[in-house]
Amino acid sequence: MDVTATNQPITRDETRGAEGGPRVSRFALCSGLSVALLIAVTLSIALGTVEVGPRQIVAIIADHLGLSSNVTYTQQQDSVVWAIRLPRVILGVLVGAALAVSGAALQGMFRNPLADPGLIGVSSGAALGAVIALGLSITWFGIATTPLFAFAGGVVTAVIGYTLARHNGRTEIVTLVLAGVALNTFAGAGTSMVTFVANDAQLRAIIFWSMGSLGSSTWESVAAASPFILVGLLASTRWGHPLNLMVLGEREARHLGVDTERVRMTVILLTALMTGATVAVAGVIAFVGLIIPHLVRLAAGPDHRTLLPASALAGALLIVMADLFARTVISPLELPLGVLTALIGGPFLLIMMLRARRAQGGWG
Amino acid sequence: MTVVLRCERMTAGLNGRDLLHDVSLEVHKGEVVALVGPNGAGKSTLLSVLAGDIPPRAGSVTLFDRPLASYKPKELALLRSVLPQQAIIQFSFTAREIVRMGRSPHGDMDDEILAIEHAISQTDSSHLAHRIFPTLSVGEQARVSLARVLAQEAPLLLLDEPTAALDLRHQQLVQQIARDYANAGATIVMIVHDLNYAAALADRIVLMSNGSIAANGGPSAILTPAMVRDVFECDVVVTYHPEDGTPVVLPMKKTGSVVRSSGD
Repeated sequence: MDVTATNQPITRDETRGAEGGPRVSRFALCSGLSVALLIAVTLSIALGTVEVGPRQIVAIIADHLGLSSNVTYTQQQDSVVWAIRLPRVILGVLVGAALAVSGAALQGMFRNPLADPGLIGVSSGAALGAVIALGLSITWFGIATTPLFAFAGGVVTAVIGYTLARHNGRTEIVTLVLAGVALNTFAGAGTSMVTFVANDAQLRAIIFWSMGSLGSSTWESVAAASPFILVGLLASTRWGHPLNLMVLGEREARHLGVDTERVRMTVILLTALMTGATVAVAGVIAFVGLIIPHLVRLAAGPDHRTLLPASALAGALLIVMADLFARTVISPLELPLGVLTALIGGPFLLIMMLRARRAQGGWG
Repeated sequence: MTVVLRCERMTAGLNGRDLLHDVSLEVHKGEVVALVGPNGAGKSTLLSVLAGDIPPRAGSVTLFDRPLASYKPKELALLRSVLPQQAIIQFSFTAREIVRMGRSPHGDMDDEILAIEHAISQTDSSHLAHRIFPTLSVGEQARVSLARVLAQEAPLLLLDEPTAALDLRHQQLVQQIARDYANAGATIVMIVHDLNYAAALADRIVLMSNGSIAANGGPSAILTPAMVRDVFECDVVVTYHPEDGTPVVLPMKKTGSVVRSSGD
């Protein structure tokens, strides 16, 4: 993968429009996505083996928040909405937003539209952490053990990669990515090794988790993941401007007054934090960080001040919709969410790769 | 005369290897200084040190009488702008969006549009403004990048070969821009490969060789056949421009025009 950018200028046929075409404004895009997300969230709570109407959903939530309502609903509807679907959809929103924003921010920072949290080893590090907890049946922290291990794995890999890439007071992108390859390989081998020694029950837990799913969402997992994800999302609202300038190049951004090292460090650590948190509660959900920012760029152009918030909304929308599809299409069985996104994401990556190669006239 | 930049016995390099030795240099307000020299002489390294990208290993560099290293990135961005050799951008920003990035150190929006439009029209880029930067030709990209640097409105401009990819007309345009900015009180240091262009453009030529300054002075004093032979290992004749008498350097045709250095 070409990460450092070749010396060739991209000679794209500009009459084809696409990225050069008319752009949707930030306001229009974000409001449209917000409305779509609201609809998707409502559908996601309403649909399933037990159906609940929108008014009943509002009433159930209101009652749990201590506001009384006079809409009637059954006890079963109440427990399905409050205990199962609501935490699940909230987690879907958080996970989708975190993955898409992490992808968008890393792509801007690496100046490469093909970057992804998986690229620098964060996802596989988090996976290794979780698999260790599951495969060795470690329960030091009770139900929070697997999330904490996944989270620690993600942050440790990010810190190792980042430390290795620091040289002469700067961060070398090539080293960071090569370290990512090495860390990915290492974490993958570690995961295989734990899987190899695991017994049948442990194996089932590992496999279920490694395919990525929101199926085990509870209010506890919402509470475990949301602080990390919200901190990252909140911080990302301030990255738009510096990331725009960093697209010019690291030196160029510094010449324009950006403290590039600080931006680098916060982006790497906070995306690791967000990715680790998502892997911890939902397993490995691939490609959201790659697809969503790309689609948003097609619609609204590359400005990160639009890209980051719109990606958060679109990522949340994708995960909520995909999860709704995954759990209703072959009901009562559930399609693993991570498998679904990978099924979409794999061909998508190939198409992007071919487009990029055609645009650049080969990798040179 | 106000000293904008001052290097004193400065040594600097990359990865533990010194590429500049004992460089002392003063640049004054309103000057256009051309850095010339053969490949590998240290021109780009010197420009990087002056820009604050590479910290000097020994000696000092001051900008407006303050050590360069003592400035915060934001402060520095208001005092000097830098044009890199080639901009490589992977995302589809329009030319105008790229130029607008040059305004970011200012933060104020009042005269933003004015400064952007001025920079765009000065560099003859108006017809490029709405186009996607990565789809422009290298020469067009160079003009848009220059517009970005001009929009920054810094009193010191450091330009790394602004004319390398430009046609004759746009080379002259850049010369005119440099002159206008210097007359308005800005200071310009630029790397130039074409000695004749340097002679026509610059108040002063800094001739670099093997990481040191070989000569430093007005074009007529620097561009002599002996000096050019010493530094470029190339026999030339020097004649004078019929209009204003600036030196014009031409390769010698008779004897082998390239004198090989010993050991080659």
